[in-house]
Amino acid sequence: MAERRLISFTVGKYRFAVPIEVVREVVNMDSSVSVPGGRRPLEGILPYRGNILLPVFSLLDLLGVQHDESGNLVIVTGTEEDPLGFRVRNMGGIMISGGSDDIAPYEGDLSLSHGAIAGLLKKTGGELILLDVDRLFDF
Amino acid sequence: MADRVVIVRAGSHLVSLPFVHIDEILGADRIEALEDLPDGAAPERSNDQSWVFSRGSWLPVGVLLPGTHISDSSQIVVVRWGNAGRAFAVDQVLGIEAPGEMAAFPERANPYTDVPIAGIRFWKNGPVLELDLSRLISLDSGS
Repeated sequence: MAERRLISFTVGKYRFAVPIEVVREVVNMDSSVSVPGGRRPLEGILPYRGNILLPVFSLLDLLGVQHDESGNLVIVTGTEEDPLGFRVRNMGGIMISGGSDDIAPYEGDLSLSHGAIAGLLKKTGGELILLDVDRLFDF
Repeated sequence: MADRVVIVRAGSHLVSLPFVHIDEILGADRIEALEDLPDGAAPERSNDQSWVFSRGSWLPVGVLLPGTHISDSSQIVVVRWGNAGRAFAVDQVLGIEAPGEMAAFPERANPYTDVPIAGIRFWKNGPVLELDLSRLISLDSGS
């Protein structure tokens, strides 16, 4: 399998990675608007580019874990017309994955709903949960 | 000319309602309890406890947003949509304005709130939620 460039980040106690091409940009949550009567996993909406509002979701809620993560960064994914975001605590770095050789099945406490967790990426310095963002937001 | 809206505060949110559909704005002193309605008033929804009389009919009073409450200092906004009328309690009516263009509420967020939000406008550098009156009134009517 070809090499892939991944970007890593943390949410709560978890470290994640996604292919860099699914990340449109990273913005901060400062101008977010709470949604009256809003329910998890929705965390709020954010004025985005031009006249577009970005729905921001809780990643851990999408993966079946309730939490009070208060990270101020939002990873924006999706399309230009239909963007969506999920909230993270810290951005990590950009790394190269050598393909499937360093990916093991994920056996932790997060839900594997819709196949959103592609596996556990073993890198020097620790393990990262590899996400399939398309499946994560397949709702 | 931009559409004029009535901007109100409901809890921690600012909300805009299309001006053309606002019939009246009343004080909380106009609220009558169900047991105080005059004979023959025949309210259409007997489960509602608070009522106002507006333009010849009794209308149930509800809160505009979940988590807010009717108090002695509330103001009552009477909304008309077609033949339907409803009254909503808000904390304060802030003004009649013509704010900028509305950004549509994202469809992906709709399943996660029961409040019918049409979008957001900006007024004095702050966000104002615009409600979809047709859905608001149909939801409030239980239809």
